[in-house]
Amino acid sequence: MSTINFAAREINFKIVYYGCGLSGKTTNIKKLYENIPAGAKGEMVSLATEDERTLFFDFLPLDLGKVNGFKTRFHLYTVPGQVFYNSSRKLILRGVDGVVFVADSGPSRLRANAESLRNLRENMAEYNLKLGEIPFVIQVNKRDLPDALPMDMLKKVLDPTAKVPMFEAVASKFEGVKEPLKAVSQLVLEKLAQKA
Amino acid sequence: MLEPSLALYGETFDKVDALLQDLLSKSHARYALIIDLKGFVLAHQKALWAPKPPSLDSLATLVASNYSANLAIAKLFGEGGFKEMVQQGDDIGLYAQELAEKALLITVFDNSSALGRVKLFSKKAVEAIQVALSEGKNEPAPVMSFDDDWRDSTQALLDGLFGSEK
Repeated sequence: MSTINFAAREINFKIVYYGCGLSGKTTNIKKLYENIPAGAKGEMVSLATEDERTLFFDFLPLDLGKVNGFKTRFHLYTVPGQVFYNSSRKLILRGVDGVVFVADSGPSRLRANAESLRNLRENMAEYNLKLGEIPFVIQVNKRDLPDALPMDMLKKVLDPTAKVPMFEAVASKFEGVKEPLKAVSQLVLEKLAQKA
Repeated sequence: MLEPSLALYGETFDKVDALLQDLLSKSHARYALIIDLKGFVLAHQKALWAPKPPSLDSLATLVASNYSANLAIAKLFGEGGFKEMVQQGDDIGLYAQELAEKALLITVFDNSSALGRVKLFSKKAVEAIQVALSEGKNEPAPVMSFDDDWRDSTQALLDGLFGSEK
């Protein structure tokens, strides 16, 4: 649920990047940090292991700008993707307003993608949330792999009903990184306008 | 639905703001913040003599996440939660405690203040803030409009930040 701070005249939203280990969640945040203008971003925080695997989360605040005197801000988080960090993933999902699911196009990662999506649904259920009821987009990353899985196959596994906005990406080259974030942000703002 | 984590607006906010200043004055702490459990800053004050604080977004996020992790640890032991957190370094200390079940009061202090003093006045501040929140429950919330103009304006901002290609 979005947070409004009337005193500071801010509306804040929480977007979480979810996905299996090494799918590119942290890469998304890092590339956004490198490419977004200084005035629109805050400090990036990364809690990671020595070998740069996310241990708890990455965090990046973005400032969209002012509308009707209220600053609109997005707090971006990534979850640790490795299977045994499920407790941490649950904590990071608290208060989520929108999710970007980062899928790995690698041929050996199809099952991991499906498992991570299942895990996302389970963890959201603990907050009485359903994936279909909150802003949700899928980024299919690593499309530059020579043996990348075909999009049709990934769509059948990740979104068989073909209802979820899907974006192809090569996050390491900052391709397809802005688009899913923009899309989920639009959905979050639209949901706010509908419910208020 | 858009709801504030705490009803911090109008007179209630002014009272809480004054209570944070009072806390700093009595405890000799550097900074006092109220954050919600998602890591958003709801109110903050800095002692006049204190240096510029680090990024409040980062601080709030890390403390809220730390609190959530500690809550999970407490549950492993059958506890309802750990009501307060103390972090102490060589020069800087941080004391955080629950506020109204939806937020945390964080007090950051240095060697010029003692932990006991910070704890004492932070606890008093929490009690006073909870009274202020309770008294302000019936204060009408400001009204926000999310009409077509708002939609168009936010879309323009999104286009400006992320580009307008579809």
